[in-house]
Amino acid sequence: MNISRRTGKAAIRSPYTLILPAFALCLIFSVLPASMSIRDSFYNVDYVNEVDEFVGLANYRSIFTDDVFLKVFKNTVIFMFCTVVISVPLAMAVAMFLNKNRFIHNLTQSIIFTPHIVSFVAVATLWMFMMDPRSGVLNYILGLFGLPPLRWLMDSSTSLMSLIIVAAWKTMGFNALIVIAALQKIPAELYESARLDRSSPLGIFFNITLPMISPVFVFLVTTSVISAFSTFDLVKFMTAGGPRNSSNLMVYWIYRTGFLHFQVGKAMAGAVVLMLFLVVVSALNFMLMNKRAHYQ
Amino acid sequence: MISIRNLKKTYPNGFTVMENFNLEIESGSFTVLLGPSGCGKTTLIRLISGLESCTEGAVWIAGNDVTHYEPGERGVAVVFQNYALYPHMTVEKNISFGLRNFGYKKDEIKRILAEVLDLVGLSEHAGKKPSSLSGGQKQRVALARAISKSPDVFLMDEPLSNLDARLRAQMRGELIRIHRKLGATFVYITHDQAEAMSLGDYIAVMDNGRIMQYGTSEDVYGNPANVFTARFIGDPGMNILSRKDGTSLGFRGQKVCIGRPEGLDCLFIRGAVSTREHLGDAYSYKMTASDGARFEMRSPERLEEGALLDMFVMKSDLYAFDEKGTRIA
Repeated sequence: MNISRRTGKAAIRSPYTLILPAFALCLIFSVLPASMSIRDSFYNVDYVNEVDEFVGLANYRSIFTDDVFLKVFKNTVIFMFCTVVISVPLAMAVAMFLNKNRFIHNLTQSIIFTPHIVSFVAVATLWMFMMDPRSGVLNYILGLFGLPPLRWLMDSSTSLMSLIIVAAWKTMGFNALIVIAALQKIPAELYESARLDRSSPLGIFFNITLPMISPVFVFLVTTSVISAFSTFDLVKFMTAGGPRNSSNLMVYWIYRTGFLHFQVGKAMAGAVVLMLFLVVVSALNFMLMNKRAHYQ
Repeated sequence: MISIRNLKKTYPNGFTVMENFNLEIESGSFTVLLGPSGCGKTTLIRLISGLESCTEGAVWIAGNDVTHYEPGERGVAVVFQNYALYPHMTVEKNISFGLRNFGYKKDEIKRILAEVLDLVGLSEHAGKKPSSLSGGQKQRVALARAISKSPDVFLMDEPLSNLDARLRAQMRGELIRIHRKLGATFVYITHDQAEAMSLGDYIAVMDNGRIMQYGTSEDVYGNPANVFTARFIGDPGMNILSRKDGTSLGFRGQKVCIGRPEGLDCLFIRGAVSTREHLGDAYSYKMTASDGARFEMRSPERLEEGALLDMFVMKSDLYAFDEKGTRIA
């Protein structure tokens, strides 16, 4: 009796005790660095000469007049848009095809999922082999169709596209798996009802399947957008942003500006812009999709 | 009329549910398919509706061989146990979706919607999504959706078994009312014999992919064709006592009289009360006869557990079955 009463009293205080570790981690590794970034974006920070002076919006002015930053920003938006537009519908198509319980389908499901668990370094190395202009398999395939070879990562007109292909390929399997899980949760009776309602296969897809997996669609678009915006490894290992910044993306630009050129204030201003942009896009995505998506 | 001829259904895994299956269902009747789970009644409805294809044999509906017709072309509507409403559509859309596919015009759809929603009493819920409706309301939407396409045949697969007892009783009444009003053929699946008796003009008792008996509810209750039907129908099912020659004798628990059968032509049993259950208007007793046979008895009298009794069943209340379980007298 006594013991349970004591735990009862403790239980009132315990919620805060229980969230403390997570809260502390979040504070130390997310909130604190983010606020420091925001602060530094208004300062001229130079760790070597120990300079730390307030410069107002000067850093922001400098990035928005910097052609490289504007190009990188544009690249990032294109990269995000294309990876999402390619990988999400492709994942849906693949999922529709693989949503059967035969051995071969299950095997294929596992195979297309592997890119997701392989490290970016390995993926990058593999694709660099395949995209080699002289000995790469991609140019060989183009040749089979009578198409001229491409210089892939080495040409400023194709480098960003090459990264998009790799990023879409890496996320597609994971996205497909999520869609398959959603498809399998749709009760068979709904399809049967639709057949009894004389719905065509196309009608069933648009009126039953698509609305039923719409929540997953919101999830996929949101996570794909965020992962596209935070892509770093691919750029670093495959192109280092080149040639001539044609494949440079925001996070890599921030890293280079801050840690190679030591323009910390400018880099942080870029980081803040990226953060704000991400917040706006995610919010927009949620608002748009929530209106249309059906949650059970 | 629905006519099922020499039907055979084998699933891809090699399991044959039914073979040489024949059944004629009268036009405009309320026919109940009754049987334990796994007896093939759901398969039968899926074969009639075309959701499964027949391995052999044919299905005829209203004079047409519909064996190779698509489900939507057969003039049937199915009401599923778990409603199968489109969760992302409002009540109205759930019903109009099929109507649009059937090629009805806008004003017709509007008229039919108003009509069927009124028939099931859900007019003020037209704009709601299924998730905000109760189980009974959902099943009424499913019913309205079926009615809206004015099919010749309604196929219902345990439509009430997800509802609580009180609601189930109320919905039974509504089903009978709707059947009378529409005059269509209702084929209704249940494993609950009481539900079958209260709803069906005709009952087809099924077991293991075969029809054990097909007749009116009075017929299957009062004149069972075999031991299976006798045991399955009635609450409790018929008591069956096996005899040494392999034949058996059946009698209903309600027909057991307590006392000595002075000079009457009857079956005499001496036995003891094992357990007693109170049912409200009567008691249900599990009895053990002096020869070890067990049976059930219904009586308004309150007896103590362990009490030793003399009982008898009048000869006119006895049923005799041969060694294969077929009724002989």
